[in-house]
Amino acid sequence: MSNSLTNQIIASHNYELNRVHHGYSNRTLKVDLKRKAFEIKPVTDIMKDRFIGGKGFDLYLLWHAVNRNTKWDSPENEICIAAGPLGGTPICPGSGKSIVTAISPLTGNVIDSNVGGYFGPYHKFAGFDALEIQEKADKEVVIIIDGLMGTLTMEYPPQELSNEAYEITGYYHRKLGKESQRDISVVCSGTAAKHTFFGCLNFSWYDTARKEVRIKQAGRGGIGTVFSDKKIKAIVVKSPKVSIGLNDPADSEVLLRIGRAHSSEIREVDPNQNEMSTIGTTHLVTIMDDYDLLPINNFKFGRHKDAWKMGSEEYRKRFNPGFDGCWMGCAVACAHCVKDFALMTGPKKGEKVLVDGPEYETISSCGSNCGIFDADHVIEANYWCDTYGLDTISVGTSIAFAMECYEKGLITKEHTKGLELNFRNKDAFLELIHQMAEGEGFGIIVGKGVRKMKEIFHKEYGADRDFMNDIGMEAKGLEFSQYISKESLAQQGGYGLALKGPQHDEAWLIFLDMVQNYMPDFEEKAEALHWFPMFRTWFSLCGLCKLPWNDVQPADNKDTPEPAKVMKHVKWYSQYFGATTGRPIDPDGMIKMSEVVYNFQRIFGLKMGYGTRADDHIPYRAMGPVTEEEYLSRQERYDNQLKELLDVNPATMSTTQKMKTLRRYREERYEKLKDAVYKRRGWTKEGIPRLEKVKELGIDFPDVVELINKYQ
Amino acid sequence: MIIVDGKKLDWIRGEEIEMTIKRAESYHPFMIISLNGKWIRKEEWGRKKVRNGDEIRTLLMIAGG
Ligand code: SF4
Repeated sequence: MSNSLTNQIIASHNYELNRVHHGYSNRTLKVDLKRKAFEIKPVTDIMKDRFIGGKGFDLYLLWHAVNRNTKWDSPENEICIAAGPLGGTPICPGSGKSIVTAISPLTGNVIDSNVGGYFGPYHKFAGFDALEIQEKADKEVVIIIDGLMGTLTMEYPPQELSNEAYEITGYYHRKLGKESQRDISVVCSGTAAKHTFFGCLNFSWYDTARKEVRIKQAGRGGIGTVFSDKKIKAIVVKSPKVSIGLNDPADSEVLLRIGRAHSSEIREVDPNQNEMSTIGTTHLVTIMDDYDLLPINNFKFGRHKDAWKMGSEEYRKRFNPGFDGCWMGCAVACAHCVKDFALMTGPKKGEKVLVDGPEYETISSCGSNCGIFDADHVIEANYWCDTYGLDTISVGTSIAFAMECYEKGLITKEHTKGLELNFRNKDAFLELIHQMAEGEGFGIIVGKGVRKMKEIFHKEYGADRDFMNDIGMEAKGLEFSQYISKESLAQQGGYGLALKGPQHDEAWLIFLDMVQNYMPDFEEKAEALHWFPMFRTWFSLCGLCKLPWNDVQPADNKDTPEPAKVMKHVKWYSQYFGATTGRPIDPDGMIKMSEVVYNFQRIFGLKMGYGTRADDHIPYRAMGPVTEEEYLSRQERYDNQLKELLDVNPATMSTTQKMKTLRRYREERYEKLKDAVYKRRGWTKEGIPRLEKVKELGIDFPDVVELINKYQ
Repeated sequence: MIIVDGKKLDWIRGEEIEMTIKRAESYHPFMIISLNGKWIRKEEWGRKKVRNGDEIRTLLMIAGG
């Protein structure tokens, strides 16, 4: 794509450049696409004090922008993007994250996504802690924030520029990064976002060693679909050169000391732990498989003899060696890529491309969960999902559901418009992705996600609704991420009680619960479902990545009093915060900060018509075996549980009776877990934050109190 | 001889895998254990006997992905 294409400027505004002070630029930027206007607003004390930054700022801005009737495609819905006060510190591992929120097309509720790439910190260094984009443009526009010149521009992109993410990001890096492509970051979606409900956003950075533009995805919940509906082609930011001083830490000496210690510890231990700097998260494939936790055929099973074909050893051979931090200097450096991959399908068939990924979630969702065990197929699917702007998790989980419905005869070739949608059919899988981009065929129906498919299959094709509710792996409207939770009650809670829907980034408790038996009773599980999400929320308030907390552990972690929490790192994080902002906190203070925003987000759900006990429901397949095939495949395990936990004799029961009995037991346990977690969180039995809790957290704003009073 | 996390140790007949790992000072409450390339369940740690020539690896696993 040539760089000499014409862009037509439609709005331009000069602004005063400012310096970041102790992690904050103290301003936010609002873009009104309809009026083609920019508004610069101050960050208030309440925002900094209660909402901290990142996801907290996003939620605060979004809360004031939308009302109870706002839908994902309402003009007032906003896309908010923010770094946090620690965002943009090169020495601190994982400090380049942007946190994105909007009202989701899949859930109708607030969705948040934490993504790498350089945009969030660059946007802050250009002068703004958060960006909110409201209304819709009349035709596709590009927003450019030039943090060197102090200009805000809105323009029509050249007509010839395609909607594929790699084309858009490459074009703007070259066009605006003539002196240095590294100082540019681009946000865009892709062609398929407008035809589906699970469009993702791509966030770029320039890989100086490989001289390539790289991308990471804000995948979950369809924010790319909102982006596309608003007719935004791209947002581009140009930043001053990054140094530690640019974030103006209150105590750079302390920051440097901790950052160096943290980074060198990671470099020392990672090669003997998960080797994330070499193989990313692909190590999880065979581990999950060995523990019966790797989703196979729409989460029916957890293990397959061919799983190794997509394991880390396969990707070790395919990943291009080199530094792969999705932010400057991140010592974990787990964002790997495959170079010179020859595409096998689609409009660029035969072309050699760079593919960012795959990560574990993509391998499972686009591979094993659809019965496909082919490392190259996953790379191909990964490429097309990214460049078309699709969330790989929702794509894979949705196709797996459609495949099971097809195999069960709930839908036929007539409905799939000729596609043989059996598990294992990789051609059909890729064809559906291309259809999503073209906006045609059965791909458009699959692209609406599992919840909508259930509705269409029932209403239009007469499919059994109850069965689909049992096997359709969505909760709150969001597709499940890739772990079998049947044998881990805590992980069932980790999925079902997550505010945005079943995504493991809030609580990943399978191993602590199922393998290490760290939390045998309800109260202990509830406690873990309190502290784990609180720590993880904190990272999204500050603009950090969660992985350097507990995916890489200090060698002496086992000798510390609370090894599950990796307190050495938690203490470092509290020091990072103090050294950056000048506001000292301890680990309890971190939890408190998260509690404020976490409870606010739950109440936000209530405002949008969700956020109650009923919304924390999960499909039975997340809890236990739905079909005889599943029960019989692990009969010994289930029979033993009936004997040992329920004191019944399975020898005298039919498989149907055994399944019913087990189901009743497991569903009751899940409800008891909800009770324990709500109590621990200070919520009512209906899952609503209590007024005392809201007062204690200092978020008893009049509109909040008015809202929750109805539910006390 | 057996190998635990790259460390060579004498083989003791009848020793369970958990004991071997403690002897190699590789024990951790949040570890998972692989025996000759296969991850094994916690229930088996105290039962499974180590055989001469086995290769054992431990990995810390609190969170993933
Ligand atoms: S740990 Fe991985 S995902 Fe997180 S910031 Fe570093 S490179 Fe990016």
